[in-house]
Amino acid sequence: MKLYYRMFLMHLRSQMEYKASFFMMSIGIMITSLGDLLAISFLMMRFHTVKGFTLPQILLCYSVMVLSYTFAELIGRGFDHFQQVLKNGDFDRIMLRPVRIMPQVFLARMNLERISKAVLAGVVLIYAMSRSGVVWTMDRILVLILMILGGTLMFTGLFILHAVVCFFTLEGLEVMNILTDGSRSYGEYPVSIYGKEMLKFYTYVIPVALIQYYPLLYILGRTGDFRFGLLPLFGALFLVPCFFLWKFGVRRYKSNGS
Amino acid sequence: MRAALGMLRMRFIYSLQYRAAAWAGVMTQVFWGFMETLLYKAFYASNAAAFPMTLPQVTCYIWLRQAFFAMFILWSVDGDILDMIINGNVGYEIIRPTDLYWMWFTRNLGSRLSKVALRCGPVFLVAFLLPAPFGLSLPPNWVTFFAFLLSFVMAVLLIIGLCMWIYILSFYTIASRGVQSIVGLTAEFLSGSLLPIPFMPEGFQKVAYLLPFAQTQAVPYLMYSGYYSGREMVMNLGVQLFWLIVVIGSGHAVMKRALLKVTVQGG
Repeated sequence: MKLYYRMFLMHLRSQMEYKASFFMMSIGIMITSLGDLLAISFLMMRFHTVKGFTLPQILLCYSVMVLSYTFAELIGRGFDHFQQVLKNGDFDRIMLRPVRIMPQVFLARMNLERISKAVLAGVVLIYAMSRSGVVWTMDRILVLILMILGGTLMFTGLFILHAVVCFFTLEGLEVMNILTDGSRSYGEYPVSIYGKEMLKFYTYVIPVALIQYYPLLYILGRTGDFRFGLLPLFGALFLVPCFFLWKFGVRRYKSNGS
Repeated sequence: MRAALGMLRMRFIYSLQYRAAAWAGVMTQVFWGFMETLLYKAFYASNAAAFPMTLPQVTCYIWLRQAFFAMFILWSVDGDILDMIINGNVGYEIIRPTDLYWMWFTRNLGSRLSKVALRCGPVFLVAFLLPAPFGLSLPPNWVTFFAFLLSFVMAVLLIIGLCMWIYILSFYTIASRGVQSIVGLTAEFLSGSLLPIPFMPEGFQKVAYLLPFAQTQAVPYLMYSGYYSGREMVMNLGVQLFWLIVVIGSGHAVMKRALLKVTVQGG
């Protein structure tokens, strides 16, 4: 944790050296993330409801997903460059250092400009909370926080998984984007709308539904069962197998020189 | 002309090297296409009356978009060319006794064609095999098919024409990231790649059809499924041709101008 804090400060300082560029990038990233929001709004303006969800309810789901994805990016975006790290032999150097390997890899890059996405998502969240017709009792707010927390951990797990694949292929695979980017972008809607089979896939294979669909049902009062609200915690458990796969990958790792 | 064809062949073969990446791309595209069809099916089930086009037309649109995905990304520019402009190596290119505009044009055409050539086959295969409301169906008649072909060819030339403008502009300025993403998002959204244009609100649609971006994706895909017919079809082809001439004509002229002014410092 202390290490994380220090890395965070380091990135913050280095990126604040170029303030103008930092703000331009922030605005740029914010604008880029507007596209999905616009598409969702246009579709919902036309159709009003989809599978019983209204626009504010979908936006609730959207903002939770974007927030948790962005937070996960702050922890683990370093995996993006992991294939280069493996290819040019930097990983050997990392292993030699007397600090844990994982934070070194994952905190190596941190694009703080991405926080601007979280700001936008936060605004959307507040709008959605006020318009969704939900009475915000303490337990519902707790569930909402759990959703964001669980989502952050799940996406971190997916990022780790992405990096683990590089151990075996030495090449970042575009297919893996289905897991990371895909989960986010399809998770912007409650995954139940993709039908029963996809709901099962997103419950048992990648626990996206545990983070958004089931707890959302509780928040919207469609089920009184509080256990639904606790499911994000199980979704967060996804991190555990990913972590062990990472350990396995590190043990199997053979340097390919440079 | 022969030099241009040679360039085209070279880039094509060069990009064909990355076969594994292509397979990965195919899988990604199929998955995304599949999820997107499911999404629109959900909207259809919720309120069929609000659907601006038929469900098979939407699925055709989605699958065509996935199949030709790599062709129409405006920002997939050739990094080498941009580097050349920035570091001054463009000087070598200017010396060559061919028209640089067409050389770069074919170079981009080649690499885009090869990316698509590898990917579109399998995506089409999967899309055709999927059962009726999900998959890709054949165009309703021969006329629409030929209209689609014509429109598609123009769309390909147009996207490269727009892409050339990115190079040309980088002779003058290195656009800041903020401006770049505003233009990027506008172009992407108006090309109908995030949301098929018929699903947008009325006013938005009108603007979208008049700008060149929609002509690069939405128009040929809509053409394929028979969304347009008769006069509308001809009108749309006309608008496309208009933009094609304007974008390429102006690009060619401005680039000539830019090349006259280029000063390469030492080196």
